[in-house]
Amino acid sequence: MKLQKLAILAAAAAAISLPSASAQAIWTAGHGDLGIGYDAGELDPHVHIHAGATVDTVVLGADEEYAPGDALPQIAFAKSLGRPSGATWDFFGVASGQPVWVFPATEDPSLPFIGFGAEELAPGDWSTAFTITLTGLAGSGATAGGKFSVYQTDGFGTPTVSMQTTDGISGADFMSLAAGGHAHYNFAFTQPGIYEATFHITGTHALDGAKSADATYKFEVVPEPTSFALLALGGGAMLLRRWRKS
Amino acid sequence: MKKLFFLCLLLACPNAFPAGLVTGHVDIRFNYQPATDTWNCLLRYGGTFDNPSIEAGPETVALPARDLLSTASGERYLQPPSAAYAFTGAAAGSPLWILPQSDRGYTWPGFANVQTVGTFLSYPNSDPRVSATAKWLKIRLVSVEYSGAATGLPDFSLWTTGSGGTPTVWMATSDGIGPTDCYFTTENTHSHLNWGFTALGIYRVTMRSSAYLASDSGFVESTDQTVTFAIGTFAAWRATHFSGADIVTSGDALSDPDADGSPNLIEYAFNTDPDLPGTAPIAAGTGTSGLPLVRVENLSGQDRLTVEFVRRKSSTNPQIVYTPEFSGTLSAGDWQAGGTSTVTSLDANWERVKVADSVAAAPRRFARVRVTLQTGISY
Repeated sequence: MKLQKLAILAAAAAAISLPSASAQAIWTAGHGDLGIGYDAGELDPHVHIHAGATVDTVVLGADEEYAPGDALPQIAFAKSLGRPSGATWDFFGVASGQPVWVFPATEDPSLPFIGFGAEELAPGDWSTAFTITLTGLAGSGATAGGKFSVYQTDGFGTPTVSMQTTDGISGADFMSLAAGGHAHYNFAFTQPGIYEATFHITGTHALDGAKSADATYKFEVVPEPTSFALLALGGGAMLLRRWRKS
Repeated sequence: MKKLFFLCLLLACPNAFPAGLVTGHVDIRFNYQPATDTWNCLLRYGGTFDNPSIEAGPETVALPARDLLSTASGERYLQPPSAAYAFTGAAAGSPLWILPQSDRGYTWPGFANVQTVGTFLSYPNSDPRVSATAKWLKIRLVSVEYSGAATGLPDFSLWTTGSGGTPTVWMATSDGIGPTDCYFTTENTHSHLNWGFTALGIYRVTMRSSAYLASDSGFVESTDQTVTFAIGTFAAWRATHFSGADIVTSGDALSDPDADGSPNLIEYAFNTDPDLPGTAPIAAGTGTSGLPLVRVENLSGQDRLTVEFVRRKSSTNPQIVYTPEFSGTLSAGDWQAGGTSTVTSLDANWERVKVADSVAAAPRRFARVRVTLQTGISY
């Protein structure tokens, strides 16, 4: 199903001579998960966007799945927050008061609401929880010096950081997710641009043994001036949408 | 044969019959039913998105919080001095039990709703906590009923902490219950929040969901839906044996629903079943449940009254105090503490205790174990 969609998208991209980047589904609002599936004995990382979310300016009538990196969650430049003061927020990698852009762990209907999900997997089939480790960060945002972090806040607002690139990328940048589980995190960025975050995912299947996969997910903090190029991209995306339906 | 098959079924899928306590990821689902123009409310837990889950009416189960410090895998926090959290109703430094918005491996309640896309009307919501246009679903607080040992009425609150650490308060009883005690979510979303409670006990939180329909802009509100929270060891025990409004009435500390003379507090203290009449004392030296055993024993050549009973370990924060006492007259001012006691550990939660009178049994002595429910606890 997913492969077929990919093929169609590739064909569409070729047919209208757009750069391959435009084959991405632009996800601007609503609930979706960076998902872990299991298919033919291999882990199958993907993006699962739920019905009701906005993708390519259209509200999805049913759930959709995309290959990692084919769905691009976007946050507008104007949606920046000022970094809170206090050393507990140093992990952001910018000074207090400087802008950060966050896809929040609590629902804001004007933004993508991004979780990690392994809901398609039966807990009994997996003898360990999955470990999702950040192994790389690339893209124009990262090149511009942008930092990436993933965290949650507790009942009194204190952050618990799972991943952050401020002190580099190491084995300490990980989170756990049980088969059948689903949890939301704050995904934070400190510069506009594209971020390509590569995760190494490991888990142990009760019968098939240790499994691992690498997946690169993309995020975008849309740069400030809405350029003609961006409009063109949006138009291309709509064309793609039509093509897919036919 | 048929009977046997039924028995096997019972054994094979115990979860088909709702348990008293639900832990883990649990969603309170409000779903609009177009066919009947009504809402239903179900707690969905124990499963995953694509695999069969358990769904139970909110009146059949309760959501527990443990009376252990958050730093020791429990749900008990300390109220911070910050004015931003005054809404919880707890005094700075006082305990506050929180079922958290981020999963900590125990009870993790959230809201979810599943509708046909486009069921709800999209409208601009001017509530300053959201101020956006969306297909809003509103969940409002109707009432909170408390049953427990706290003096006064404890507070319930519901809030989220944002990506910058700032709280957004959705419901709080500390300033009464009014029109702003509501949570806004959107069509087909799922979200988690912090549920705060200022005292041990049972909380019956009654809510109503509502939305405007896209079809005719009609406003449809649900009937009252009550979700029960059990905070602490005694509350969890009550919710294991009773459900719904019954937890407050039959399940009260001093009620005796099985009419065996032992109120629930005594059944809880001595590990007996509040629904099964019983007055038997525990078996000497081996018992794990039953009323205290009082007898005369020859200790070091002298006849002494002893009392033997099972006790909840203090490490479980049982919220009760056991006081074994002896008297020669039964008059109120004559009860004295016993002498030597021996304690035998039974498991993680229970121990067996035997206390000997410090006075000779002749001509007559009496023994009792007084069980007191604690109102305030200094941790």
